[in-house]
Amino acid sequence: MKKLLETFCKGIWKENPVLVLLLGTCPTLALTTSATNGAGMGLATTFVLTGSNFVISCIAGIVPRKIRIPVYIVVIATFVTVVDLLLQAYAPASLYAALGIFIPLIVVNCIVLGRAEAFASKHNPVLSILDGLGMGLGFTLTLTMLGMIREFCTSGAVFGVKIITAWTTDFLLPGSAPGAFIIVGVILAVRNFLKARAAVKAGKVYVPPAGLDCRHCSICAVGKDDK
Amino acid sequence: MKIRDNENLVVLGIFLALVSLLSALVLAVVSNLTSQPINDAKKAREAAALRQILPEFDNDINAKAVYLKSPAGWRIQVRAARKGKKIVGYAALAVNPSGYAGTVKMLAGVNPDGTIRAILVTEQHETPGLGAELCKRQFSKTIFNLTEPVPAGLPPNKYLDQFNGKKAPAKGWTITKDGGTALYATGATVTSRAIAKSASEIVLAFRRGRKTVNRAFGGVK
Repeated sequence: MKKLLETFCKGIWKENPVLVLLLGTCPTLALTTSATNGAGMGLATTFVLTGSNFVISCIAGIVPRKIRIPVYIVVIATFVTVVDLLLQAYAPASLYAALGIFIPLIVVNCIVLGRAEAFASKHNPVLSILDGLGMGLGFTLTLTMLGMIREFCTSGAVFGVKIITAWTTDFLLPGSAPGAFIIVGVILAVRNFLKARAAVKAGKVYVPPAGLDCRHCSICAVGKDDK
Repeated sequence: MKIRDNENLVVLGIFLALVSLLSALVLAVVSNLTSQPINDAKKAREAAALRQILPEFDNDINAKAVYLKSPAGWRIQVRAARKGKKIVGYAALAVNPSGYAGTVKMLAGVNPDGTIRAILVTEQHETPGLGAELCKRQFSKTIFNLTEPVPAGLPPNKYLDQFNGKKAPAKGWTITKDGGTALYATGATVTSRAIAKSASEIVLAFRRGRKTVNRAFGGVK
């Protein structure tokens, strides 16, 4: 039970996909122009991530190791297309208008492939679903938060509701991708500063979470023969 | 030998083909199930847009469409809206190929006298926050009017509303930066140009194609 909870919770803060794993930076920068867009993209990714994690953990045992990446991509692309069709058919017009062109981007979102390779292919379906949900929730919360910050800095509004009514001319930097990059950088710096300070205070040396340093990650080591 | 460790190219190829086949099957089923709702949603969007830009009408507006050639050579689709027998307006659809990022689709309600009644941009890929703002119609919500009901009618947009009811110059509207009269937004010059150009092409196409329109719909005057 504790392990289940831990698997679910780690994606929200300890191994947050955006702020710790630094995966999925493309949608993070491109899509968080408003809080609504960020939340919508986060939820769509959560659905794909959970679904693909489940299927991949089910089939991981029979997929030949040499072609596992193409097989995973096919599974993920299928899920994304299904989400795209469902959104077109049943989502409110405004949501589809905002997200429509970004949905296909989920295919190449590193979080989805990253979790498939690093987690789902090595764990059972239940844990994989929880991992997908937790990572998705962490992604959604981070994107929503970033969207709120950017939307507020651009036009003084949050979720499309103007908080500062006198703010009539948009400030364009935080609304653009470079601005998002700067804001993400500041958040990362603050987070790492807090982590490092907590470690120093406890009299320890700061180390990245277990299994998250380069030595343990197999994502970009496809050519290497891993176990 | 377990299939996991198989390295025979033929086996791997067959496996990949099977996976793709399975995925194609799933997609075919989902696509089949959603094609009807997707069509309905598209039609509902289109109908809602038409109701916004035209006065009240009661005919089947999609029953007939004619195409006018605009001065720049675009094909502008025109449909007539009637209330009873009387034509109350036309819906004109213009596709401008030269937006900042691809095409800008403009749907305009045109009065029977050939002036613009209201404009909607139905499809665009302009820069969010800049060009896209010029194409957007949205009531602004603030924390002070959050609980009030959304006002009825078309949300105002000064860049799209500036052509309403106006007579176009002989060569169409150009933005003030290019020596014309139309408003433009700094940082979104290309989008401003595209909007002015689309509105002009629609009005000018109506001016040139009056006879075609009248012949097709048995129009007024």
